[in-house]
Amino acid sequence: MNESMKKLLIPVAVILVCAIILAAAGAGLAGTAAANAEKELNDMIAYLMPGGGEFEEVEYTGSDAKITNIYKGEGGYVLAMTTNGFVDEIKLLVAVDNDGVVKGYTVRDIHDTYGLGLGVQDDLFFLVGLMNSQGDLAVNSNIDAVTGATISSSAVVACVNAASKFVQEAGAAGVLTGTADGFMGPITVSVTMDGDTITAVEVVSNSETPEIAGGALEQIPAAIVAANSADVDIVAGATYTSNGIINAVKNALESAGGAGGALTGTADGFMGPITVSVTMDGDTIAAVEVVSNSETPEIAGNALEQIPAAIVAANSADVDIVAGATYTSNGIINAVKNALSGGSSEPEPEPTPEPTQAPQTAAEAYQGFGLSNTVRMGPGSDDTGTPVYSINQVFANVVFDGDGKILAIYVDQLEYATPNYDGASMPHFSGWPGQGGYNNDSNHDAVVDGTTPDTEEQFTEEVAGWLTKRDRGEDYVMGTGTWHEQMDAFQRLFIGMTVDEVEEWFAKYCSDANGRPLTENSSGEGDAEKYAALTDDEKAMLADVTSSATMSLNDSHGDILSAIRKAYENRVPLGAMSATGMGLGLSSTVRMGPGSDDTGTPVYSINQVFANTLFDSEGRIVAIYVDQLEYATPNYDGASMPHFSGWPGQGGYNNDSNHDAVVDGTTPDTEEQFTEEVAGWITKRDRGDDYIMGTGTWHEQMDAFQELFVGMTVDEVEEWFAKYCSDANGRPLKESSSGEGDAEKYAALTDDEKAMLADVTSSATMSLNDSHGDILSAIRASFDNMVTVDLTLG
Amino acid sequence: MKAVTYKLNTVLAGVVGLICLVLMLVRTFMPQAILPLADIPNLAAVCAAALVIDCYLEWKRVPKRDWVLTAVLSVLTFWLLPWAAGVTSGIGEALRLGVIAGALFTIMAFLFNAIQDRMVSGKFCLLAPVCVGLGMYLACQCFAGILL
Repeated sequence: MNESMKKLLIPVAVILVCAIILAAAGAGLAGTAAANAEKELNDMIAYLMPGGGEFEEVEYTGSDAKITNIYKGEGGYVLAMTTNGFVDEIKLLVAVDNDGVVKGYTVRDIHDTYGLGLGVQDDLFFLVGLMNSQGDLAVNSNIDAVTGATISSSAVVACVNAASKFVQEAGAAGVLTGTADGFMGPITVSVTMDGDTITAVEVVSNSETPEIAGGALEQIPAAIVAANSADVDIVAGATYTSNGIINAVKNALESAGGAGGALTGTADGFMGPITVSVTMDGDTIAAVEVVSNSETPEIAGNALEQIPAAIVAANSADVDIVAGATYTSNGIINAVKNALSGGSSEPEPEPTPEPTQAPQTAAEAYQGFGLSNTVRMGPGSDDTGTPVYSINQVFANVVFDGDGKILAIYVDQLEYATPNYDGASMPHFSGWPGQGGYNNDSNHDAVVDGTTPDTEEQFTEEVAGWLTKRDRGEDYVMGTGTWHEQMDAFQRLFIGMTVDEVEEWFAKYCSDANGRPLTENSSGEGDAEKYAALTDDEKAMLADVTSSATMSLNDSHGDILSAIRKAYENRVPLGAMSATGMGLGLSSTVRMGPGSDDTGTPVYSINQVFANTLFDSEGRIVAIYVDQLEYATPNYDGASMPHFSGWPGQGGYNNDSNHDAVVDGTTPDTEEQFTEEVAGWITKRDRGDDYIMGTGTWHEQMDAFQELFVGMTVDEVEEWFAKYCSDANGRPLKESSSGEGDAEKYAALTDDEKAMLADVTSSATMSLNDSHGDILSAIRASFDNMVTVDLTLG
Repeated sequence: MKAVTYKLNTVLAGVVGLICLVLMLVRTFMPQAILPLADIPNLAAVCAAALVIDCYLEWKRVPKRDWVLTAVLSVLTFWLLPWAAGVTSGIGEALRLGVIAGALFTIMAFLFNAIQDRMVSGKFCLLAPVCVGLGMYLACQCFAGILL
């Protein structure tokens, strides 16, 4: 062996020896490490929830990937959670009491930046903000992110919210725990109830000998579920284990329904389910607490306060309702009845919903639709430095009286962003096909994990998947409730105001810095002075508003005010009618083409149809106002077509600025271009007489269809389309229709039907559902989104 | 003609082994402690420490190295030792760490070696290896968050 080889053997030997020593040390210390880790975890759990009793780990069967382990005690739960912070995973423990209130929090593992992300483990204001929350936190709304650590703060807040919601749902689902002695020690079971039905029994922990007790551990829980009772036969040869399981189940059931136990019941209120906790002392109702509800505080506040107290005072759920909050009162009463009967009482028949907006009468009325399109730069950039952008479209369906006062209003909004936006449920758009796709954060962990496919399929799927903020429902949580709850509160506020008054209200009572309603704590520039100048009555009014609506009416997230203003400007007169429902439906579809420009680059467009409808009590359309926005790549050579060149940074798009079918350059790839293009988007009605079709203009054709649809239900509109329109192109049939099967379809019609069609096609020949837009789906969506109103007009 | 030396890899194995042992003990007896991440900056600190120690051991000499074997041995070091200590969980993760850290170490060693004769000359030469090691560690901060 030469000298060089000998020298080489030395480091090899050192590496191997070190590895052996480390492996041996690891094996030797494994037991100690496990014991110390368990002790430390128990100490930490006890510290986070003092007085929480003895904790035991229970199996988590849900789908929230953030929850890794659950430890249940008498006083509540401690959840071990893992989430993705800015640098790496953050592991934490969250303690939540049985009411879903967050009582403790600690970070177990984090690798964020010193002075920035690490603040989520020790920033005093952040930690204080987390405490006593109930799944209702929203970063930079009701809790400030740690400075310079928005991503990690958001991740932690999402965990804390998820922990609280888990406990609230566990309570509502009726998961009970009981313990009793087996042969070798205590047996703990988890019993899942659905009303008064035992749906699952699980032995959570035991010390029994598997060879002896295995049969009982397997058979007894199944027998209890099958019998829906703890009174089942024991397994021969495992008497003590069988009785241990049976007694543990009884213990669990007694802890829920026995003396001093807390019962849980749920029933529908006006805005959603109401869950109550009823504490019994023998046969006496000792306490009733509303654990969760979605009611509007201004309307339901008295009922939420007075009904539980009245039930305790009467020791009965048969108490008088609170005037003005009938549905909330009945919801609480039925929830208590549900709890007292072990969750078994049949729910009350679903009542006809009360109008969500106060009844209105007007001799003269108008309906208008307004759309505002704005851009948002950010928030910030992704982890590769690529900016995040989004487009916000606010659309408002508003009914005005002759004086311009709002009688009914329905506002919704669509925001779609670049796919590197890391918020969940955000609709995405990757730019036009051929622009290279966009950075994608598919798992919303603030880390880009690829680029979206640069295909027409991706384009089609993304646009088809766009959901409005109302569609996003409970996923769109804000500081105070969800987006739709906040918007509902604003809508109620605006009833009876003119548009000028709405704008004056905004100017007087909202922050000049961020457009949000002022509060005592508003910290924008000049907010404190503006708030201080208000009278006590005005401050009280604002406190009332901000108890349910805190979002801005005009900021980078959308310009709601402009949409309402445009609705007023676009208003058209309504005839005499009674309306009990109001809806606004949006359909978004893509169009490939027409063709390509002279350089061979394809033309694309996006079509958004907005259907604004009023329905009567039978679901018949009593008024309808449809408008449409189409925006295309700038190489589309038609005049007056709104353009979109893709997101800044995607290189712009071929531009045919003088509409001569010859590309004469590329649009600027700047944020200014982006802003100007979106701000310039006008609807097909706005394009007015510039939008000429085969028969009249687009708005004249749409008016003719609208007139046709009044008096029909949405089903009837769809049936009309199926029967009288071409299967090939969706246009109303004519004698000369030449699509496949059109001649046969037309020939099968009666003379009266042909005459009706001739009448329709004399003014409306466009398709109701083709690549130019899906009007039918928008009308259907407006029906599906319908809210109750009470309008008597004319 | 100078003979090839592998003392640097011996030193690296010693440094990495020691650090792994400390991590193991901390994890065992202080389970609440948050252990540092095996990322580029932290690995650079370990590499720099080994290079500085080796520089003092080879004081005033510029050792001749076989860069291929140096790289192979450093990959072996960063692969096996953290894995044996339980710092990396699976064999795949361990190998990935070994390859990336081994490459990092080889690059740093090459740079260090290139200026070693200049470092050990001059008035304050005794401080130079430490300063260069610190500078390399700081330079690697910009790689935080990538690769690992």
